[in-house]
Amino acid sequence: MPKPEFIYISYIETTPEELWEALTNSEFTMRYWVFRA
Amino acid sequence: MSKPEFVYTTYIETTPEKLWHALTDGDFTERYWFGHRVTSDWKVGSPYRFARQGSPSVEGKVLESDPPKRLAYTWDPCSADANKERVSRVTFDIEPRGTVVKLTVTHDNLDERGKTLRDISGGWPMVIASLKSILETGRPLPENLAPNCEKADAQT
Repeated sequence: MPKPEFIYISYIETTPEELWEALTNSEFTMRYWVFRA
Repeated sequence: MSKPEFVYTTYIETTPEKLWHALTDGDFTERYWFGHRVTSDWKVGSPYRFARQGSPSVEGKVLESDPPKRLAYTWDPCSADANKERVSRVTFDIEPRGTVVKLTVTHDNLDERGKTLRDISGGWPMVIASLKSILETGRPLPENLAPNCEKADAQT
């Protein structure tokens, strides 16, 4: 893999389907995907 | 900081005091740190030890203790393989950010390509995810993702 890269691992009590939905559904991403300095 | 190092940051909806307690209280660590109970008086220079079902897993001494902001200790895994490596260091930095707390775990002074580096790279994300879960929901993550050296090695 080319450097630099950023890898972050976490474990979440959910299902793969719900996590996929959370990453791809805009209604849902608007609720948690915050960019704040 | 010495290389290689492992840095893991997360944000937890809790207070610095509760997070400090979660890192230093044996009854609490046993619940989310996959059965590992920590024991220490948390004074600088004092020993500490993690043990699972009575058998020691990691031990060392307290390097910094500034509740509820900063805790550092040496990291000496109680296994024959890791004993050949130099003793590494773990630092927890706790910073309030509004209604949540930023936690940064820095593990440094590691041997390059050592067993400890491999183990902790797989282990910290599990431990910190379970810590976040228990502080936010009252429940830790299930035991069946518990740190398992064989599994962690296979992933790398």
